[in-house]
Amino acid sequence: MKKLLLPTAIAVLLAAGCATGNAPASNKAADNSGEISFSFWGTNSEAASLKAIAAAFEKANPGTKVTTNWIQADYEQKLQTSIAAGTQSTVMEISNTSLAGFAPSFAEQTVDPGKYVQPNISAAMQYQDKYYAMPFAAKPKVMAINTDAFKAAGVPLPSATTPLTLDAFKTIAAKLSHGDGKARVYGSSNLWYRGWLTAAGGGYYNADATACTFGDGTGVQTAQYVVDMQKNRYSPTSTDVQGQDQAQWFAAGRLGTFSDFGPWTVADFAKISKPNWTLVPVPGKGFPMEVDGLGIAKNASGKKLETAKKFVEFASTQQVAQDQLIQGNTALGVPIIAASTPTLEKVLPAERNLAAFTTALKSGEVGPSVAKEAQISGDAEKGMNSYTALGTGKDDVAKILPQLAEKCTQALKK
Amino acid sequence: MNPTIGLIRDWAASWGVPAALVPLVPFLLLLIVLYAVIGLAAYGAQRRWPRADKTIAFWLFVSPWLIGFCLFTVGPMASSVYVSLTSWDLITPPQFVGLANYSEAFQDPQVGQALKVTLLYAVISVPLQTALAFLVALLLNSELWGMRFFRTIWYLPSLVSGVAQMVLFLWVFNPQYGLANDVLAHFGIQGPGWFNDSSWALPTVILMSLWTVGGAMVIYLAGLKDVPTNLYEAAALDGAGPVRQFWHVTLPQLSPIILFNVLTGIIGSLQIFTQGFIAKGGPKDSLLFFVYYLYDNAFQNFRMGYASALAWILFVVILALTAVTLRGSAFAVYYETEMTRKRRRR
Repeated sequence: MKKLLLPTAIAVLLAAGCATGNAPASNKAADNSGEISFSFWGTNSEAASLKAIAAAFEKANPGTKVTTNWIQADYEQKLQTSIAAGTQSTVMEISNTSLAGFAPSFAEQTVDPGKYVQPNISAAMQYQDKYYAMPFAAKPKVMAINTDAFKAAGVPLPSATTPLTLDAFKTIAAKLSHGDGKARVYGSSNLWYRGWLTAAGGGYYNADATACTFGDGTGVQTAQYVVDMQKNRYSPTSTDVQGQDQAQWFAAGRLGTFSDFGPWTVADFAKISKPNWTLVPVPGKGFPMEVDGLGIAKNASGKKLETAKKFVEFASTQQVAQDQLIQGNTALGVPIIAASTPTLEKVLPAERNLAAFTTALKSGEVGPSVAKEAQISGDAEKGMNSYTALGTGKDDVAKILPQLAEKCTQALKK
Repeated sequence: MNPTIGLIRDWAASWGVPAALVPLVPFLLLLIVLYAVIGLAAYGAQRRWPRADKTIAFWLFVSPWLIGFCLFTVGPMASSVYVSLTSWDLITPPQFVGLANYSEAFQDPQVGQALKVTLLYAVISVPLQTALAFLVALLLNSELWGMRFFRTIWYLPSLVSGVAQMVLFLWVFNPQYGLANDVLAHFGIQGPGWFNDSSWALPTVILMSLWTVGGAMVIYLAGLKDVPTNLYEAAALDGAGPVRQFWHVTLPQLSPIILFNVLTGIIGSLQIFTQGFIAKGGPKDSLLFFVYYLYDNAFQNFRMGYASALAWILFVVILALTAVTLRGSAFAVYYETEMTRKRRRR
């Protein structure tokens, strides 16, 4: 029987160890190495950018190793489950819109706002007045215009640097629209309400994210603007573009303007030689700018933490890393340090005016980060799309939007 | 992470185990420990009851499945009971809230809507699928030239995955460019908004579900092939025509298969997810299926506790409906072996 005592004791000890507990793993052995892991989302070219940054860091810091973890789908879900399991990467990519939800699992960081081209970039990485990530790329939006369509309609081309007003844009869209049925040419691509709300000077939330403001006067007026554009058939409805690629519509000459143009769209449009096109600023105050940053796991310690800090600083502020955001003719985002910002402009010939991105970067508006952004904005957008002509509904935006905004504010306060 | 598992992983990493294999080490150790426990129990039992060799061998052989079942089915289920009693966003530690999640679920109007949509789908789609699959099986049971080709054609759609199906049908039912409205337009009919219209979205999904009756059809076909021909011969001798033969021979003989298909159909339809997920709940929550709402709470809203409570509510609903169906089937399903047993008892 004595022979049985040892295995029994081991079994009992290990079984006891399997009991649940929330204490963090010690990670002592791993913490003393300069090896870190890095999780990110993105397309093939975006992943290539981030892998190149990791490789450049290893080269610049001998003895360190960055193991990349490219999560191709459901990034936030996988990140959250890995955090719950305590198996998250040392460094994690995060966007400003999702930062608030993940802030409790990130280590606080020190960010120098003076290193970036404008203050909104570093501010986007703040939650409750503390920095939880370091910015490394910005994604401002610009508008592509079909110059052939403008010439054919006898409409002068908009300024390459000064944005149109919303009314001027509507007039232009009306002049560019013609035809019927499946051959209809629209003056504008489908209008993204949230983007146009920012362009009109409004916002989804107020500055301190304590109330939803899309139901106010500007919100309703903008919604009516979008609905009118669709009703007059100056822009396609969400049903019209369901399952359709609007970049292909643009290439086929079916759109006079394409307003939701981010840095990642450059590669698709680079292939379009006919119709001729160029970039101009988004009308009004422009669309909200997404800023992507790098958070460090709260449970990182020792040399691992040191290496992680060095890595995020490197990706965020070093030209050799920032230049990697541009791979061939595609861009993960616009570099955020002055020395690298013009890199994107050189990707295509000057007449395409990629400099519009630099202009948009310098004036880009960044919305506040909300802890339950996906749930709160998801519910509001579902309501808008179900009940009003912003989606497939028919109800009056002036009646529905204030109701949805009220519900949204209550959800924010919960 | 559990501290002991963390320690084992650190220890494995310090011994140079490749990073990708490190998570496997605690699992393998756990298996070794479990087998040590089972081995000890078997050894003890063998010493105490020397004649129980066969029983011990049975448990040893069944142990791989049993361990897998306990670790990967019973374990997560038990864990989800605990999680359903907490408020947990996966990032901060779970907080015990008692039955608050269940109480919230009973007052949540979206749970009511999700149950309504899901039950409506089950109540309409299951009988339609059953009837269509049965009808097609009867037609394809004829021994005509080229019948195998048609059987293959009918079965093929069952091989298409849910997401691919939904994307395909989003195109077919696109109000502007879809095939369905194009065909209707040829007859001068203006087609509906299908997935974009709250009153048409659920009927469209039900219509779509009929495309994949091939799986059930194959089972009916196998059942039809198994009906003894002497029963038909005897019925014909007694003067029964094709309709009477169908009601009094085919249908009773196939009743256990119908029950099987109805039961799996009910369970499957109550767990419908993909269509709601791709359509994002549909306009005005017209495609807010229960499992999609559960998923939305777990992985979009990160309310793992509430989602676990919803999962248990769905489990109870499915269990109750299955029990009712089984109980009700006692009067309508014919089991030849049971009859034999009853006759023997008499």
